[in-house]
Amino acid sequence: MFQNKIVRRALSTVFTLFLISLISFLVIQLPPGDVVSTYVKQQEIIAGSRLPAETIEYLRERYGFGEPMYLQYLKWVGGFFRGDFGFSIIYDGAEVADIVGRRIGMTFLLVILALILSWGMAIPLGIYAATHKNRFADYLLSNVALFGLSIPDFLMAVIYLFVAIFLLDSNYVGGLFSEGFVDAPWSLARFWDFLQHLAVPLFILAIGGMAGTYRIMRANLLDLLDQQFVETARAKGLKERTVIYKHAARIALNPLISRLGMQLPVLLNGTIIISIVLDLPTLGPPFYRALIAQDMYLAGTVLMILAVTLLIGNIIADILLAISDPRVRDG
Amino acid sequence: MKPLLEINNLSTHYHLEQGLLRAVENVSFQIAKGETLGVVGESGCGKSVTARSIMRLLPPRIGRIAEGEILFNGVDVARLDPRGTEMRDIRGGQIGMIFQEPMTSLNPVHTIGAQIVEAIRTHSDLSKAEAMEKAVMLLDRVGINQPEQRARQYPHAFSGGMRQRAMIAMALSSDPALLIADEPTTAVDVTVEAQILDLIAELKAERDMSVMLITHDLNVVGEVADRLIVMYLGRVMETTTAAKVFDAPAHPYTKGLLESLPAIGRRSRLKPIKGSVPGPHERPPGCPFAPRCDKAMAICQTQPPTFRIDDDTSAACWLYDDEVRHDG
Repeated sequence: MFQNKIVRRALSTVFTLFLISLISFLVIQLPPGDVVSTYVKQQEIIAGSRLPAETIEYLRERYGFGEPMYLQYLKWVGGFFRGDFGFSIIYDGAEVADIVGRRIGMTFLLVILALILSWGMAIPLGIYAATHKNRFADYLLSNVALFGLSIPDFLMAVIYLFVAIFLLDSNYVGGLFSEGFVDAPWSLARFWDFLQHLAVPLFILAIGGMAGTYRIMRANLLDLLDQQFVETARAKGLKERTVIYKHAARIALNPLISRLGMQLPVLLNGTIIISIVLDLPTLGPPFYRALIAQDMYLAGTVLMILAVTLLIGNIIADILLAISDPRVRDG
Repeated sequence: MKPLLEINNLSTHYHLEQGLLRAVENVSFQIAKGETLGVVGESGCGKSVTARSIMRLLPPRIGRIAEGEILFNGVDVARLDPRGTEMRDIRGGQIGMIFQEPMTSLNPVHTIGAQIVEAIRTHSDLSKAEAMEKAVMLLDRVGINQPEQRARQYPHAFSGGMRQRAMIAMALSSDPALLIADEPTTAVDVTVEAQILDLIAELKAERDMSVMLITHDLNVVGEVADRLIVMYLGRVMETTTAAKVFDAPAHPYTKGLLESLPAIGRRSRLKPIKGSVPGPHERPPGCPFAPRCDKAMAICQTQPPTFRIDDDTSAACWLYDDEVRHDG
């Protein structure tokens, strides 16, 4: 039963991946002219030099320009298996795989830390609000959450920039390392410097996701506290803490787990946007520049990463949910 | 002999947004050791609130015991802190409770065995393995086949009747002196109903346990209860025995309930009680049943006291007042 589900799931994942790649490919093809011509022209304008004829020929051959669309697509997709995601115009013909590879780790580190931070704050607050329903703390938290839900990430990042630079005169704004540490090997001092850069962007990211998580947790738990089995647990003589955590909150987490698949790409989006505003060394800044400069291999690859994150997030969510809820596992 | 449970003038109020709801008003009754007391009445009459007052499971900040005492083994439960150790020892330890909805009474994400083990270990020092052994024995006792295997399953693998059996096993896991069964058979099939009632009766005899059986069905009470109280709108209308209630109901409300009850072999038409139970915030003054009563008199605008009829029956009805009788 369970194995069957995994097989079915794997097949549908492969199919979805195919669709995602198709759409990303179409996006890459959207701008007029092919990427190589754009690259050649750009080099002429900026560097004032013409690319060597053999380089142009090599690139045309590599991506199948001039050949039918489906062959171009196959060449592009085939490249993935060799770690070839195309080249970037704005990075002077550097491999997209290298550019993305250097930044993807930091990107997902931010995403995952933000997720942990937002759950770590939202879940206890949601439990507190639900168990103190209609009291002052509940009203306060719910209003703050609404506020947090309504402010876009980028606006908070801009406000932070303003406050940090003009009011606090902070040295830790922009990037994730101070100048002296950018290329230094990891050390305690570098780590501390990193943390000080990281704290606020992370917090801004976490706040955005937190409001929704808090509201869902609160509503779920309120529903569950009305369930008969919660009264059964109390009737057993259990401590109220045990009743709340083991019998109600534990189950109230399940919808949050289901939502994880949606939350990951949203956090990734947030990371990208905040990184653009605060110039963090994640996929954000190159993606932004790539979109403006129509650097389509780079932009298309980041788009694919976004879509694949959604897919992987959903698979992780399904697995976690099956572990957490026996009804999903057996049903 | 002192009764196991003695409730004196209990009033439980709900403080709702729409106003004060007197869910239970001036209720008194007793349950002797080894006795089954039936608590009968239509929905909304305060049966469940009475049970939850005893268990101190009233919704916090909404439901409050306003007056009266609940003496259990001589301890006034009404004075205990509902979340305190003393109350938690009684709740689940000395008083077990089962509920109306077996489908939702068990936690869906913990195995049946784990839930019973949790109950056992809350009230004893048994190890997990010992508690599991006891849980399996209990499941076996309540009639669940292959109890060892079933203990490892989750509630969704159990039918409604099986879940109610598992609930009974859990409620009895700490050998309580009193079992409160709140409409335990309302949500199960008729065939299962008889089995569950038989099981409760057997277990009661086996353990010399007392049972408070809440039901809206007088037939159920007739089968298993020794004595019963009939409640209406938060008040006890009649206290009687299971033997007498069918032949000699004292209160007009009890008579009405009996006449609206289908019985095999009966020729006459069913006679429902006229009118309907008033809403919780529109309680009539005086006798709560007066507006629906055939025998209502002027004096019924005043709340009647409880009149003793004989050794084991009493009714809160002016018909049993000597003066009223002589005048009439």
